Amino acid sequence: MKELLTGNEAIARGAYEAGVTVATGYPGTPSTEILEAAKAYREVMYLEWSPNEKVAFEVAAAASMAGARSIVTMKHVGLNVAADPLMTFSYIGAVGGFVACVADDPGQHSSQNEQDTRHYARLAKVPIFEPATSQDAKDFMRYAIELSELFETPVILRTTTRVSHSGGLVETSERTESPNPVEFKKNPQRFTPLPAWGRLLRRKVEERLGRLSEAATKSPANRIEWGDRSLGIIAPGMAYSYVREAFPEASVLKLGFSYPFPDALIREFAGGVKRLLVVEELENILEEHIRAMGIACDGKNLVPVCGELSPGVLKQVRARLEGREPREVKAVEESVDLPGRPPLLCAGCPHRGIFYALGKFDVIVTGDIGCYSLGVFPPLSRTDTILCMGGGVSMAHGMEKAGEKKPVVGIVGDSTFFHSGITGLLDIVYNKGTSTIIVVDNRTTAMTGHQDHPGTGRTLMGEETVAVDIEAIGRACGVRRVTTVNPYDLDGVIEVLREELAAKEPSLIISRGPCVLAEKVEMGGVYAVDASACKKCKACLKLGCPAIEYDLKGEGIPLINASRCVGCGMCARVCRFGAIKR
Amino acid sequence: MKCDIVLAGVGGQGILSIAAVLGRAALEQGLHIKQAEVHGMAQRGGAVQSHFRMSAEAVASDVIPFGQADLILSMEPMEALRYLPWLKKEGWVVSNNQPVDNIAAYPDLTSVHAALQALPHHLLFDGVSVATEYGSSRALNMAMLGAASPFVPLAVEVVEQSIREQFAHKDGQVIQANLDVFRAARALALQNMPQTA
Repeated sequence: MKELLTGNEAIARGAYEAGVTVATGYPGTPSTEILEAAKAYREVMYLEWSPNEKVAFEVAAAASMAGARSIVTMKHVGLNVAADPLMTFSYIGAVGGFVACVADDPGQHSSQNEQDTRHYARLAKVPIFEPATSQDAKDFMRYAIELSELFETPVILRTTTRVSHSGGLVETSERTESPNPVEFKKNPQRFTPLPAWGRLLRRKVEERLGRLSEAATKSPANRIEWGDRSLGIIAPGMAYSYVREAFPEASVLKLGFSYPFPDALIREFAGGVKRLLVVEELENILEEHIRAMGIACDGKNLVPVCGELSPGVLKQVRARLEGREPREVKAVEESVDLPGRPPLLCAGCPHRGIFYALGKFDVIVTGDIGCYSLGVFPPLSRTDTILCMGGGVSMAHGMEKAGEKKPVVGIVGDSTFFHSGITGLLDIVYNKGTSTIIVVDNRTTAMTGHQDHPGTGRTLMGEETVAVDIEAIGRACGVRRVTTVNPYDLDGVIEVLREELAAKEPSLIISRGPCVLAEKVEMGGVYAVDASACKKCKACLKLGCPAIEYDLKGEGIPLINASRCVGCGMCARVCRFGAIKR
Repeated sequence: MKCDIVLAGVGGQGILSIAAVLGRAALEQGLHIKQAEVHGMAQRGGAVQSHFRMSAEAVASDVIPFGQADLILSMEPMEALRYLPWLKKEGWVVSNNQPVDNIAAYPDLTSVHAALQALPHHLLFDGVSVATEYGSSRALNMAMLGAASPFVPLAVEVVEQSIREQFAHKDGQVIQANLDVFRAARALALQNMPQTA
């Protein structure tokens, strides 16, 4: 049967068909929808959102060691968090098929960096699959599970935003259960890689690489499409789709199983064409290897390293290759002279109250990853640093210990606090910091589309569970000053901030207000500006609320758009003239 | 047959539902399809776009090359202008006429409308009014799909069936409202654009 599936849905489908029984992950664009789609298979698959990618990886790896087929999902930066178990699991190797599904984000549509996960495959010496289509994504999952069991290795399935979020037709088939029982077989030489045993495993990894390269050469995921032999193009993953669009007549080596490099196949292809071009999205990993093999080729001299490829970019590559002047290709947002639409905190968002209140103090704010990273934009402009998940907490401490004169406030979301904020808080208490940490607790993982986490009281299996108490964690870490605030009560938040900033010990403030998008919170009617009472002071505009429009009639009076206002009332609280009313 | 469509709008306007409706209908008619979308931060009022490609032959890239789209279907007039580099010379632009002006730098609406009206093949459509009158203001996307349907080479019964399936998990009233809005918008578009039917 043919179905229209996105790459992420196809990966979930592939896991189902390949007999996977354990699937874990942490949400991250563009990987999130894999586990959400897997909810359709909950009867035969255990699913969980883990607190972070490292935990998710370890849970899935142990499931594999016990004999189950398992997958773990994350975005590219999530693999940094899970890199520790990846590196040693490569030595131990999989028992039940194990696939780490990692989604890269070339072009940084919703990421803080553009790292290329293929580097990790080489670093950990594990095979990597790179689908170009939804059909590939589903098929490669089965290949990856089979390969993982045959070679006793973890496998990475790397997608990019375009593969993850693009829809295409997929021929689906039935599920095949694993023939192997779940029964952990004790074997310390393998499962406890103490140095003496680890050294033996290390050699096995090298030997495995050679055999995997032969397997890659024969894999159905790699194929040569002979065409005009004056130009041959090697294209892994999504690059293949763009190459076919821009060079319909060329010979192409499509690589779906791209590492360990299929050397024999590359030699055969290079030997059959006059000129060789390597088209890779992001880094020049393949090109470097091909040059090291002694084969001349074009690559990053013509194909950009930064950003996403597209049919337009490939047409430029073609022009350069043929010695023509390439037509300029602009990014979408620059394509015409129009203002962009930066993402904004939603009308009624509880985070707004915290940023507004912070605006009343001369402090440094170390921010974190989530919707609240939008607090960096004007008019709120109240985030000063963003590094990584959990960084908002520990970085406040680092600034303080450096001797920064201004007080430092760290901001972290609820899901991010559980992900990796707790260890930072522990550090502040242990090492005698005095930072003020605010957990903006909106009761969901909002930015990625409202996934559950340890604080929500629900699991990905759809069951009720313990809702972990952030205040209790703070106290257990040794924080004595723990306060909960209502973010809509602006004066109350300002008062608490004033007290906690003055305290010479760590403070934890929990701002509790559910995400207005997730809960469809009913706040009791929209507000409007009474033009006769308005003094045109623009104080309400400092909230940066998308429901408040300014000066549409040229009279200097703000207008509240009734279809966007959710009635949170923050604007009425900041108006000193009582001009904003229900 | 080959048809490349750029779907445009602002987060929350329902362009991904349009893509889903088109996708199901094209699949039903045995066509090859590729659909690209970018989301992530888009739900927070950002610009959203999706590329939808259908063809009797296999489609290579999910992203439409510049100058190759047959249709730009936009829920918002300024967003329609943003994707003009994708439009082919003889391509059509079907856009809702009401703005989402959640940004300070939103240009003068008259000039946005004028820019659209200066295009050789355009339909500037009051999708909000049609949606509100025949169903619900939340059905703007189905109004715009109805207005654009004369330019989409899919059988209208198949598209309507796909709309039913799109809202199958909602109650019957919601399905009917969306169908009513789609039909009313299509009829109005056909009346105003007799030469395109």
